[in-house]
Amino acid sequence: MDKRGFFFTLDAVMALMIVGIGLFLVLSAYFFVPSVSRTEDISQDALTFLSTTTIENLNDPYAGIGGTLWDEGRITQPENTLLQQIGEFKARGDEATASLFITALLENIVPENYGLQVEVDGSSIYPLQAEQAEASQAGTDVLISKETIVYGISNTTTYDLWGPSVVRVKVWHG
Amino acid sequence: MFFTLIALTIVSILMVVASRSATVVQRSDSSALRIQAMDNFLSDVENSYLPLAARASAYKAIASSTLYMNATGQFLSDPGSDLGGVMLNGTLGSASIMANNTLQNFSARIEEFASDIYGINLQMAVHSGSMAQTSPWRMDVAVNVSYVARADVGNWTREKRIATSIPVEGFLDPQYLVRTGGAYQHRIAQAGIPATRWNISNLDAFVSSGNYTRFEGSDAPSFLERFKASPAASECCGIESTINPASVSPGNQQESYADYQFWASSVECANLYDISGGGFSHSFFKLDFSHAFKYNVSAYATALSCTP
Repeated sequence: MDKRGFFFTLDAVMALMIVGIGLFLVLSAYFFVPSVSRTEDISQDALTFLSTTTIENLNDPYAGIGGTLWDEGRITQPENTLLQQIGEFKARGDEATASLFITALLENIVPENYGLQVEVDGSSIYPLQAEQAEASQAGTDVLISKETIVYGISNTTTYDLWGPSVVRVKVWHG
Repeated sequence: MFFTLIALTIVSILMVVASRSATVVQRSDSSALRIQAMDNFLSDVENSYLPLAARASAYKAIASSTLYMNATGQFLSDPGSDLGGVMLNGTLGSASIMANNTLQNFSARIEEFASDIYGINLQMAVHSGSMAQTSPWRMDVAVNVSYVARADVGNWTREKRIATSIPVEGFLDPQYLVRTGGAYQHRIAQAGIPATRWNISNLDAFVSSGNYTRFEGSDAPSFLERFKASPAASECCGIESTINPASVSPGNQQESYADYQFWASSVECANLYDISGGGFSHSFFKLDFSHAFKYNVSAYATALSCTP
């Protein structure tokens, strides 16, 4: 009688443990999903800012009208969106300026503990060394990638159409 | 063992149900996102890419046609339609005059892009293109397109009329090119002198610069009409410039030097006035009385003594 009672008790305890562990595993799938909303917001904000702000509406000593790039003649179309300008730099083969342009625009928008990568047609423009971003991305649990297409004319004198190109903005929690 | 078996069964069922519901949610979410992405892409193509492609193609079509006219010495019979044809497939009559910048080229480019990036089988058809003017300094461009887009989440079929415009400033005036065999190249540039501010010194600078102006109610042709052998007056969009006597040979001709009158030789000698004095530096420059009045230089106008 004592033996049967012992096995019943052991059976019940094991059953309870199995149910407990099972519930924990099922519920953890719902409750321990990495939080994506903040990263999603940052990536969407970055993309919206780049695709809706035009050069003429940008107040920046490096990238805006009257800024360094404007004075050097590397930006000539005030009605370009920032994304179009990035695409235009890439179409001209001037990735270095595109990278500096993005740095000037986004360094104060993306929080310190988040990473950012901008690719045009699969080439990393920011940072210019893709390995730098990939190393940082390897250790993250949440990475949001958003993409859009971009195209434009290289200048209003020749009306040369460049693009379409794919711009991909990746944001991750570093 | 009885409780353990029951517990294992319950947990197994729970896990299967949980994983199935998660998969279903994920799948429906990704389908909605893909449909949204396709729709956004096609809207972008319609509302942004095609108008930009139409502008780029129109610009190249005008530039190519002007150079072709210069080379052949021939004017166009129906510029609005002829230039539209160049935009569409790069041909003017039987001659191929433009490559890589036709609407068909730009359509093929976006079709390839849609396939490579979004996996969409996009088939665009550009049915017609034309140009017209409703304002003096801009060229209206109209293109009729239709497309079918097939993707794994659905099909899209649309027809669209793209209407956009480009500035005419910067283009070479075909009248000058063709009539002088390319010797007198004259680009459209707006003078920006209001009708009430004309005087002898402004006219002098105007002739030197070769800019264009517009007088309401004048008989001047539009930029588009200037592609014709006999340009007609344009009520909405007539623009005119002046011939610099130093740029034509001979410099002294019994013509009005208002450009469209000069090329058409449309003013009789009896109606011509020599403009001189007041610091005006262009010898042999003549106008009809109407233009002398419009430029506010009638005080410097002397009736020409005509030789029979």
